[in-house]
Amino acid sequence: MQIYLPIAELSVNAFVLLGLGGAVGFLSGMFGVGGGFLMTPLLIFTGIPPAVAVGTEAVQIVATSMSGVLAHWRRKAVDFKMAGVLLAGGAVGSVIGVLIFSAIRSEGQIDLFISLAYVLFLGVIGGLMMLESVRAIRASRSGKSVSARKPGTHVWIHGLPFKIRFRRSRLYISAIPPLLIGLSVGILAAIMGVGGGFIMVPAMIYLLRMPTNVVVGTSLFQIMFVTGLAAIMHATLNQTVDIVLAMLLLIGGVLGAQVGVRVGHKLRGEQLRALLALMVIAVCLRLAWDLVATPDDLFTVIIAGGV
Amino acid sequence: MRFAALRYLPAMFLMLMVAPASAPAQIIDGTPMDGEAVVADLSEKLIAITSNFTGAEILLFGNVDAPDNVTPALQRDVVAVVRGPYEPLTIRRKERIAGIWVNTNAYDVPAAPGFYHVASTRPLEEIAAPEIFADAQIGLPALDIATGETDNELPVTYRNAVVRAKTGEGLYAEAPGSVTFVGPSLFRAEIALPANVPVGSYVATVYLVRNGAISSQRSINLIINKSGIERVLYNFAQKTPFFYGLASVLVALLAGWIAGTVFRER
Repeated sequence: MQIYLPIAELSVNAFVLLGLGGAVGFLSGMFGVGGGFLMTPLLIFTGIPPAVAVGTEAVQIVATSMSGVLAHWRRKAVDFKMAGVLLAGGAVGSVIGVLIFSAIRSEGQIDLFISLAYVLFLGVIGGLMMLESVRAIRASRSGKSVSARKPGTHVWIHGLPFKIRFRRSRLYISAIPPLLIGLSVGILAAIMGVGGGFIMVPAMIYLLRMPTNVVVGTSLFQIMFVTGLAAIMHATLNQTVDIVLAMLLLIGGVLGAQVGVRVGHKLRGEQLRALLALMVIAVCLRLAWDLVATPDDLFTVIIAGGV
Repeated sequence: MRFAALRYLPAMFLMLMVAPASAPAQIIDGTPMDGEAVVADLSEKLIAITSNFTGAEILLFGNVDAPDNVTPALQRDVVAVVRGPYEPLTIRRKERIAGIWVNTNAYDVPAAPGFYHVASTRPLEEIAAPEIFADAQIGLPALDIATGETDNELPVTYRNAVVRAKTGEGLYAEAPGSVTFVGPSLFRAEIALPANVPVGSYVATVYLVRNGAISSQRSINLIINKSGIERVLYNFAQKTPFFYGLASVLVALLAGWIAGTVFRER
């Protein structure tokens, strides 16, 4: 069934998009990741203009994080104070990000920039995940358990001023590191059309030393607001939010995520992560190949001021 | 005025039908009828793009008035050009820098047709000399794609890139042989509009070419517009982008809330 996307201005097969949403939703439910970092490149592969992919994906992430945050909220696993501080940084970051996006877009380099950002981040994240999961698989085979870093150890972060007490995270730390983390993830989210959970979560665990039980809920809560802001800004400045596309992806994504969560419970964590790492690396390589391979046509013709 | 007589064409057509074949050239409205006149119309003049739009096919049909009934059909040719809304273009050229392909040079074209379709009875070069078509911009080689600046002219490689890209998208086409005569004077042509056809006003111009010269022409307007929910959403996004963005986010929050509530963990 073909459906016409009013903002992207092209006709696509609705089932392909529902399937895409479902597949990425399945993965995000299975692995507990947002899926934006897979969805945006996949949308670009299917021919959606990169700028529309990024703007629209922001809307979809709002919905996904909203549905995720509810479950954590009920379990009281959201540190609202921490989320507020991250958000303050994130709001500024997403504004900067969208402005950078608009500036690069008018220079005609946005496709290249999005691809480069993805190759870099997917490469690093995929590589690290692969290393970590291979190590975990080896460790579990040899019968040892992998020990996390010891909590409570003091690092340079604890010497910074403007300390705030975060009750739910049981932390008393400076507001500067969460502000900076929020800021950089906000910039990234706006430029790449991702939630940024894949950077936010490790940063919260390893840099802020937050207890893991509140990390995901807090990160989702603030991602919801930051991507919401990014979506509004993309719509206002670039007119690149396609609500029809977002809804199609959303429906597929919600259903896929439910199946993914159930399947994920039955699989083993390390193998799951290795599998995800493989996928991330595959997407990264595909994008990298498009950057270096000689294009079919050296010329690109775009409608000025359009998508 | 070349067009003045066209308004009276239906009447003229009727008169010619009843007039004897050997009647001398008539003068109506001060215009000598020594050539042939053409009437044409489109099967649809308003095309609505709705959610299930996958392209459309419009039928262009018309009639050629013969000054006498002995002129064979083959000695007259009909060329129909459908021109879409003019839009500004940016053409960029990629170059390999440090191993990756980067956009380097760019040219702006202030106005190029978003859709350009030439339907004709025969290949254009068999119908008339290129100069005949050049003035009226008939045919892809005659299509005027330029920067409009004399000191910064569009290189031919960039011009060709536009034609190549638009042809690849199905927006520019030449279809020789697609205008067919049904009987001695009636002609028809089917013009395919792809799904990615731009919205706006179109003009279909039908040229009658005889003895290597354009003897008559007629233009018909065509409007392609988004309709229904697509139109509402598009206008919403273009006219009040901030509120569109806000509404999109609210819809997303609602959808997420519904999903989170329906699939509540037990």
